[in-house]
Amino acid sequence: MKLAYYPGCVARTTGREYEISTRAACKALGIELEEIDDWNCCGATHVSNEVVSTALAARNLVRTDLPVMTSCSICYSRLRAAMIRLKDRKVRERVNEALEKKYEEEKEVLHVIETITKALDEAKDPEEIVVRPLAGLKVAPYYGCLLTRPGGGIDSPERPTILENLIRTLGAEPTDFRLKMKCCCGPIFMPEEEAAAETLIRILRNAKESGADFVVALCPLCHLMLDANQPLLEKKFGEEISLPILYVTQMAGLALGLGAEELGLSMNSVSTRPVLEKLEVKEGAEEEGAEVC
Amino acid sequence: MTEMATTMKTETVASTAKMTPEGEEFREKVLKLAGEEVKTCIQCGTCSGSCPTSSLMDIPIRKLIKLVLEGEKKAALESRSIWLCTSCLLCTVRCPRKIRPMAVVAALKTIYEEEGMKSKDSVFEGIFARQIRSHGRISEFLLSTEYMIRSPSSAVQIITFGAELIPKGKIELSFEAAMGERIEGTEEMRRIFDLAGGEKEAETTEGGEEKAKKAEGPMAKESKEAAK
Repeated sequence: MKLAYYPGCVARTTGREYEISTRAACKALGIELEEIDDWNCCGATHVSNEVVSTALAARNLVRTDLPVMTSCSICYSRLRAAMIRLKDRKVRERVNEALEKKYEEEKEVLHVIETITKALDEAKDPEEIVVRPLAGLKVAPYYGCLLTRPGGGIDSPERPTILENLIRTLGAEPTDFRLKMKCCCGPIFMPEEEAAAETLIRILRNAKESGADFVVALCPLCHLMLDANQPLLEKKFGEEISLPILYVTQMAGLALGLGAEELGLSMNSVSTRPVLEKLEVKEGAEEEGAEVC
Repeated sequence: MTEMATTMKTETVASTAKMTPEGEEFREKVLKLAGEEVKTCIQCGTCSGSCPTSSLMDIPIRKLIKLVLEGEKKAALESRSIWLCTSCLLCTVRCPRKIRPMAVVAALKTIYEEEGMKSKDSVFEGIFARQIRSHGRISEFLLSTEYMIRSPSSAVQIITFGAELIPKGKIELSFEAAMGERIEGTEEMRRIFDLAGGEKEAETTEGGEEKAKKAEGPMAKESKEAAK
């Protein structure tokens, strides 16, 4: 299978390990990714004018004939929201005034979790692919906000299950994580740090209380807020959290038998070593622990 | 509770009676940007009750919509709430009237900027938008340095965060990195951002109104389906 890949800006900076593990996991699943040529930023949550944000998304969509996959929940939500707006002929005409290649028809837009889930569902023998089941690991499924919003997409915006299902397919156990859909407040972090910090510490405490070995994140901004920001939050609130935050592609990659280096696991801020150690203990010493970071 | 409801009712009547031409113009502008269905708000408070940052807001989203409908331009634009919205869309998937409260907030941000008002939050959004317009992509290095220069109180936060990210190789400090990644289609980017200017013209015409109204249709339908 071949998909168009829309990395989004964060994949090139703070979410670098998300891109590395996305490419690695897709390759392991036999999915070829073709990066969209000359793609542009989706505007994220910072372009308030709707015609402009719709046009930003549309320019990316028209640059390929393949279904478009992204790993970022914000990009994913923006692309989907734009397609909803673009159903209206007048909006389409306005947007097309600015575009070189015109937006004519809807595209299939996928989030990487959908791609991984589908690939595993379609596999004749998933056990053959999941060569290193994550048995014994407890995972807090962090959806964040935008994966299922606006509604009508990948899963229910109120009671999604896609992430828990994937965790189980990979051999791990999802924890009961009450704040799994609480927004990380990443979009307002820069100017409103105090407000974001209060919410973030609650999310982290709740994930930890759920008994998770790690949290799995689906969005580079959620990840940045929970992972790179975690040491800062620990200092601010004077408490130890030490909860590894893995990207969904890092989690899947591990189960697919990929090594820590291939998944960029040394780039995570909070050490992922406890997860790897636990996994290798369960799995015996076939990896010799050489790739533990 | 009864007392509160009575006060609220009185307020509505009083403000409607004294809506200034400027207030009316403001109300119409928000409706055009965010959708005519905003008028159908029943003030149920589902939006405020769902909002992840409502406890930090000076004016809850429900009340903000009421202010818009009453043409209370100054109070609505000066509210800190519009900058505390994380755009998480929970209000939008839940609104029983298929209103998109987040779009109301976005409309208020647009008007805020057009009016030349300024806050650290609008400065950040301005830098973000300008960078997409000029480069096509966001460089977090450029974004944070420019924001730090324009909003010096953010320096400690940005430097501490940078100290976490730079050793991981996630933010590069090379000359090229500092210049930012630039796409080839920057001319197209400029045209896309110029569409915002066209919006002002479109709003004065009947066509503009029709467009805004129609645009809400598919979205509302989508939310309805999602709710099922």
